[in-house]
Amino acid sequence: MIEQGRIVVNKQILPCYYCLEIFVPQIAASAHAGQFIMVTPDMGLEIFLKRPMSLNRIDREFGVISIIYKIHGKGTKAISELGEGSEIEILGPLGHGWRIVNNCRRALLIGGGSGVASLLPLAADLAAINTKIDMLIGAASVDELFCLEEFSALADVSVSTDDGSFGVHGLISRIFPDQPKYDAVYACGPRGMLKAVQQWTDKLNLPCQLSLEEKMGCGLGTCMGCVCSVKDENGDINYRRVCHDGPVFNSKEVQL
Amino acid sequence: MADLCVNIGKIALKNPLLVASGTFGYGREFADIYNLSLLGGICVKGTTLEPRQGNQPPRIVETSAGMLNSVGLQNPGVEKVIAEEISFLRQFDTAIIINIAGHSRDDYQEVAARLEGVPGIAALELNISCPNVKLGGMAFGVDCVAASEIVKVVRQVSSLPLIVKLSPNVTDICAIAAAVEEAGADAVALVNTFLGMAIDIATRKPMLANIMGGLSGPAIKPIALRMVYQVAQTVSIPVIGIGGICSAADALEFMIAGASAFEIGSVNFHNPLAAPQIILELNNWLDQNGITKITEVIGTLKADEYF
Repeated sequence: MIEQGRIVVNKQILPCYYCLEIFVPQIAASAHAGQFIMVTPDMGLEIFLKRPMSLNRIDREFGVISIIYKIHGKGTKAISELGEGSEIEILGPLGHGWRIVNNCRRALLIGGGSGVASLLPLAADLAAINTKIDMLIGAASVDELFCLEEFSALADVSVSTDDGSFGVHGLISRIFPDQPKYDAVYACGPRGMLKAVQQWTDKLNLPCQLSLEEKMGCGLGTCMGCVCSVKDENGDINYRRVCHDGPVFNSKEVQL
Repeated sequence: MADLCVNIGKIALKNPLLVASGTFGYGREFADIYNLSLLGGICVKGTTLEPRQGNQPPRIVETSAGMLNSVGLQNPGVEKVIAEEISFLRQFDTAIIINIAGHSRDDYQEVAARLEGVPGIAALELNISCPNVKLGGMAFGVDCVAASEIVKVVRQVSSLPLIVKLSPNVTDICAIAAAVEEAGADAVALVNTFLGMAIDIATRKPMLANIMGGLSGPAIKPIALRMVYQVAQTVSIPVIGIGGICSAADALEFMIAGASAFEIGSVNFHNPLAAPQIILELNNWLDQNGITKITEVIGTLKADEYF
């Protein structure tokens, strides 16, 4: 749906991350963890396409959703300049989000960079059904770590940073658990990290869901711009739309 | 309430707004957003004989006031389109136009033959202008003889009105338009996308895996408008204007230049409600200007006013 929202908060939370909270009661009421919205940075035509942003918080009671974003270019720059109280057009909630597996007693969540954002509503949903959650967060440096407190309240959190400024020094694969016994693994982050998670979970035969990020034209499934390769039941590889068929895919099917 | 009805040859449209092929899928996603019966017509995703996977991603990149795409005609193939998509679209009171593409003349003819007699189709739009596939598409649209032959072979098997969608990537678009008119086209639609590219300077890689892609959006509007004006001067069959239309004012420019109808394309991504909004704006503009029928606007450019 398209909802005219109002910006509640739009602030810098870290040197390169911003948080945008929007009052969109209808979207908030129907949104699920792992879904995304398309944000219109500017009503003019110069910045032509909407920007996909995954949901970081879904507050159904207050009708507010939030997203965490980084300034990548002129679109996200324009979004960062939108004032609190201003109106903003939101298309969403979109895509197929995280699937909570039946009888999920233990889950592992792996987030890298801005991909950490979409795991927070999943952690909240899992905690609500008493799943024991282990959470791995990878970031470039301590300056790019966000939602640590929120995750710590819901999960047992381990952190790695590329520069060693917080937690274990190195890539997130260095903190993959030794004795993994999980009913589900959920991962969102850069392609390289998702590949590492995919190889690791394949080797250990752990059920795993991956959330993909891709540039999008429409967010609705019509433009066919954001496809990824997915293996179907017959072993055939086809292009599937990240926006419509994903963004969350079964790790066994998606070809990275 | 002004009269928005227009005719594209034998095709009667309730209003001149068509949604352009490749920006609307087969309508399912937009049907969740508004009633598709509001539309003058729907040009469905380019349909080929066999299913096509399309090009390798990344396939899309935003550019200033527009976008490049290199989707490459990903579609489920004509049989599935007949079985699943046309039957879905038939429920709406709007003109269903099937955009067809192929690797060869035989492909176009075979797709048209399979669509012959399928209920609910208002016209075929021959895509001889897709810049994103090596064989087929634009190869036929940049050559007068090849373009005419596609029209002739399709004409042999199809009783439907034929709209030919022209490529702007040519030296003389009027010559192509005249050739397809001569070959029996009922209308021309122009323009398809302009071949373009974009580069990531950090990696020095092209932004599209296909290296090149088709540019669309408001960035192309003045060039598209010029081509529509020139073609409308050249042919006597109806012209459908396409290229960066984002508002009723944009659409009216194309109609004043000589277009009998227009297609909106990538603006559907910019604003999914663009189509119903433009139809409403068009009606308001006509009312405000005391014009009772939109057909009164077509081809009314005062080109000699400066002399």
